Amino acid sequence: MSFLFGDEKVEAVLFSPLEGKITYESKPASGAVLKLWIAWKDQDGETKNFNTDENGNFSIPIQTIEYRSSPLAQISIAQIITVEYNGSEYEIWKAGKSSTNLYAELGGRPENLVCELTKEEMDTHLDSSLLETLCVWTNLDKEKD
Amino acid sequence: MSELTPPVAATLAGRIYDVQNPMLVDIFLKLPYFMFAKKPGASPHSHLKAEVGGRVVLNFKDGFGVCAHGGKGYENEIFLIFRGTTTANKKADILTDARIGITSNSAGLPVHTGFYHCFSSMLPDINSFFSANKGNVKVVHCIGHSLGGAVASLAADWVFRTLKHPTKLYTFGAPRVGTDWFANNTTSSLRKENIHRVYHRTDPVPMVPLYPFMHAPYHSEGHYIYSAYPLTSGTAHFMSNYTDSVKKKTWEQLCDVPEQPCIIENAIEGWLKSKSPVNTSSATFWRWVDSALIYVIKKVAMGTIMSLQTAFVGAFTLADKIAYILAKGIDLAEKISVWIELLMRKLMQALGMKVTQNKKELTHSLIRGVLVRLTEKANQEAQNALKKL
Repeated sequence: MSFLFGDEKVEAVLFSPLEGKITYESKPASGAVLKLWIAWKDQDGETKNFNTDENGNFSIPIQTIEYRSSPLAQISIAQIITVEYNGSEYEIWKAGKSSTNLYAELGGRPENLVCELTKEEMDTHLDSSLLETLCVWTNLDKEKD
Repeated sequence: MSELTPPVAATLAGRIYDVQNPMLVDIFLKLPYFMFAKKPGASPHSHLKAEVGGRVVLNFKDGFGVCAHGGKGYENEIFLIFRGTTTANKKADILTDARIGITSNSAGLPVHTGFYHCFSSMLPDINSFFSANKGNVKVVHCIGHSLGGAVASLAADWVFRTLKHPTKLYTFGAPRVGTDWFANNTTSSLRKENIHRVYHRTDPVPMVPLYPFMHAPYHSEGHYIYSAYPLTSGTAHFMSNYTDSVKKKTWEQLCDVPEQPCIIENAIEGWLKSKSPVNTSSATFWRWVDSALIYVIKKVAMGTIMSLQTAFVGAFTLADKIAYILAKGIDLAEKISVWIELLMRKLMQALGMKVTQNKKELTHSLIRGVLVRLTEKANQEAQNALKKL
């Protein structure tokens, strides 16, 4: 029936593309495994793995879904990235967001991103979402791709 | 007593949705309003877990609200922030929303069964949060959007009544939480100036449940905001649209005047008598229906010396109760029964049903049938997601 709302299928960005370098004691961490966990429709979530190359570089492509948007149920997305390297696990990224826009995590695309696994404390970024990360970057590109 | 500005209240009601998972609460509490922001790890924030869902079918648990101490600029202030329905707990919540029964709260006042159940499941945690707090409490801010606003309303009422702390309530697009008697009572305890109810003209959620559910502040239009989104799209309900609407505004600036106040008796009688077509997809129609129901039920109550509060509390559904009251009214004097006839005709017309021509055809079961369809229609506008599950 036409007056029923919430029938609209929309695309939601669950995770915006992220590329950068993983380092361990400032040296490229090659062969590290990034485990990206995303939850939105329940709290169990799903995990995908990505590997770094010989220079420690990684690239996580955009993760999207199509879902039925309803004003009565706000989408809410959790993201966690852990890195497995040399038998140890490091949490490098922990975020919660309720916007489905591209780059809503930070309000822009981070450039020259480096995640040093031995860094002691995560930085907090609250302007656009709830984000804590070990990673640092030189600049946020606010031009949306 | 300090008061949050509309943008701050809206930010908190919106940002609580970022907390998809309890492990994100710690980051939420680093927002600049909270104590955690300056002293990591030092404050006794307690995270609330609510039982959302039917008592039998689903015993779904999900993070649902946060109690927190105010930080710099908000010293000695307490925040109770509640979240509305999310995609992760949709099924459970809709059951809560759909349970439109009436229960008595701890003060004996009639409130919505589902909202009250949700609130009472969080109450032990709220209680221990306050017991653990040794400091002076200047004010308690209760905040929420949608279902979160309904829970915030019950929380504000409880905090003020039980703990006697100065309390302020801020809701966005919240449904009606209690009946006439609850709305009236909570307005006199919290006081009208401490209740900020923000709603868009075409947000369907604040229109339900229908009478005898009423909004607090009682006999006040609240912070009405003009909106052009069609009622049937539900777009006006999104928290992000409320955040946009209140940007850089003060509470005084958030007071558009609703068109045609439907509380004037002459106007209601005029609407009931008019032959003009009615349309269930217009926001104005639901305002009229609500006022007309109140008007006609009160007429019957006066004619029968019936206590409405007694009539509404009990085991039957609301449609049953209202049908009972109206069917009683049909047998009363012409000056009363004529209004029931006019109301039923109006509703049948709006619902696309065959309109009765004769008073005798208006039996209890027909009246009940019309009211059931009306309630379904109202809930459909506001809760269509229910139909999809």
